[in-house]
Amino acid sequence: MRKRTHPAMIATELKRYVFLLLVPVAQQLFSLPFEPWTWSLLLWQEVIAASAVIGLAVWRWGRLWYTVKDGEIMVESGVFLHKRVLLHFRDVSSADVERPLWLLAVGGARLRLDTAAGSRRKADVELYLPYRRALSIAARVKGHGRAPDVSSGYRANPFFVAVMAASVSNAAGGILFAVPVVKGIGQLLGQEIEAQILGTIGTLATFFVAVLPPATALLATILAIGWIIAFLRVFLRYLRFSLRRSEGRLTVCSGVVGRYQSVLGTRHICAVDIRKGLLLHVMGLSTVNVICVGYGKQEGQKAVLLPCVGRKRVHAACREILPELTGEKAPAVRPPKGALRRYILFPCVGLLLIPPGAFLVQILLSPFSALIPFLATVLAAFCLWMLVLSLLSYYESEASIQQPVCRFICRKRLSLHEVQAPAWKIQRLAFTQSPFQKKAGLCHLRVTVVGERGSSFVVRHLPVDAVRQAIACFYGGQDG
Amino acid sequence: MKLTLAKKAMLLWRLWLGLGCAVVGLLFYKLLPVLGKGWVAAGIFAAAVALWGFFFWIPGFYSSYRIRMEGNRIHVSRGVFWKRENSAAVSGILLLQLHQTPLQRVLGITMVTLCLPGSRLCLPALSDHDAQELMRLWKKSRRQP
Repeated sequence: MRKRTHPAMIATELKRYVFLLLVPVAQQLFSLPFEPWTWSLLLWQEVIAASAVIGLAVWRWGRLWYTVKDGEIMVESGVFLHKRVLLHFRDVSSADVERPLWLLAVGGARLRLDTAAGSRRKADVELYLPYRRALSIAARVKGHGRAPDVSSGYRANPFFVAVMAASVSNAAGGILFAVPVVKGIGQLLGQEIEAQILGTIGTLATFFVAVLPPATALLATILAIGWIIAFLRVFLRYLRFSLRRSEGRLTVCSGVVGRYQSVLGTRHICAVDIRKGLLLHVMGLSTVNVICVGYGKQEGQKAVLLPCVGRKRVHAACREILPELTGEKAPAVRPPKGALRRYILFPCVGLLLIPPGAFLVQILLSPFSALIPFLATVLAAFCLWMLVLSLLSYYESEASIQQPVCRFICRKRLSLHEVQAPAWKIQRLAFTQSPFQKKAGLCHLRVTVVGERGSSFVVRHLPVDAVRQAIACFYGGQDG
Repeated sequence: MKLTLAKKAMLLWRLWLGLGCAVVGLLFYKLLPVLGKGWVAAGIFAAAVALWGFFFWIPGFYSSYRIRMEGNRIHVSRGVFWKRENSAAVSGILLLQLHQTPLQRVLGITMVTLCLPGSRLCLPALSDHDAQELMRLWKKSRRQP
């Protein structure tokens, strides 16, 4: 039977900025006496435009239906352009049921269903439904029929969630989130509020002036505020994190302000990715993520499976939750001793070039002389960070390309990744060799795991003969 | 089993081409005093190309479109100058999308997009009946264990 979605959908049809346009009209209507014959032509035009916007949103909602029948869901939508989307629950790799604060208040939930075949940027099906109905649809995601069930659940310690939030937060994300919010507040409540918020940032910057040049104090304040906002967003979203496995499905719940639930079919999980940045390495912790189509794709969502686990427990925890994706340690290809200098070459060059570079820039750009020592220090700290990370990467990098589970460790951006994936989820194996590597008999091994974005990992400076042999064995074994 | 494009697909494409030509022509007519007389030759050439498209390319493209379903596979071939053939397993289609604009609704045409992991196959103008038939076959294939 065809069913309608939750009326909360109307609010989403009135996109954020259209919604803001309605506010001044509503303000005028409430402030004026209800005497329509005295209203000006301009106000009438605004009222008609606002009614048209709301009417279209209601119409679009009225033309949106969904049908759940025989293990499949069909969504019909569109006023002028009719669209029908049909998918089977057994193809759904991840289902998200999200309840941000505003949906919590109206008793609704946002349901997102994703398959490996849909759009890379947005969910294949997105519906606003009553909470219980959304949960019942998410529960239809099919798991691994023959997979063993794990009765034990996992509940994350708030401290570990905070550590994870600190390690994944970045200032740019926080700023990108905060700027439209401040602008929106300014439009809703008046420009004075916006000016007051910006004034507070200026006041905060004065605290940094004691230790930083004035020109960089404001920048540092903005970055610090951005980072704090990003941290709070991740922390609040992943507080009360819990994980449960039943009937071959993983159910991840989290959130303290809103509630978020994701259901993943274990047969759709492509790989387990154990990550650790330098900070986490020092603390002896790792974050466990999964590569699964749809999971971690939405704004503010991370593909996290275990927020933070001690180094000694991480493999046991992965084996317990996803036994089909983890294997025993097997012989692996490692970078030879001579490759150490190649690993640390770029950070070392960066560190050596910073002092003369800063000196030169100070001479050429004398008006910015106050800023340059600070920027040089920041750059040096970054190079040092990369140097330590590269050293770690050299000692830990390895690739074990074998049946039935492949395992490899490498550096990707600012963290070390240990990836374990079933052999049939490996999309591509490729090695590249630069002219400099040719003489030393080294190469980079690029492993691409099945996924929406084709997650690639590069294990650097491995002996080419061993890699070639491992790839030949891998594909030979797969053919057989 | 053979599926064919809707008979009215050619009419739809011609309508779109005519509409596009009318808009460009009107723009060209308005801009002609600014562009200068040298552009008249370009305009005549564009009109000739449009006429050739209207009378020859659209019928050619329409007749080149072949959709075959053999067992679990769907084969699509098309192209006037550059031939293109696609083949996909019906069981590999994870998502089926059907689109209809108001004009397509009037003409009884449906655009079907078959979404596979990593690629898409678009059948631009199936008749409503064939689209429903394709949907039924896909449902049947997906229900098999």
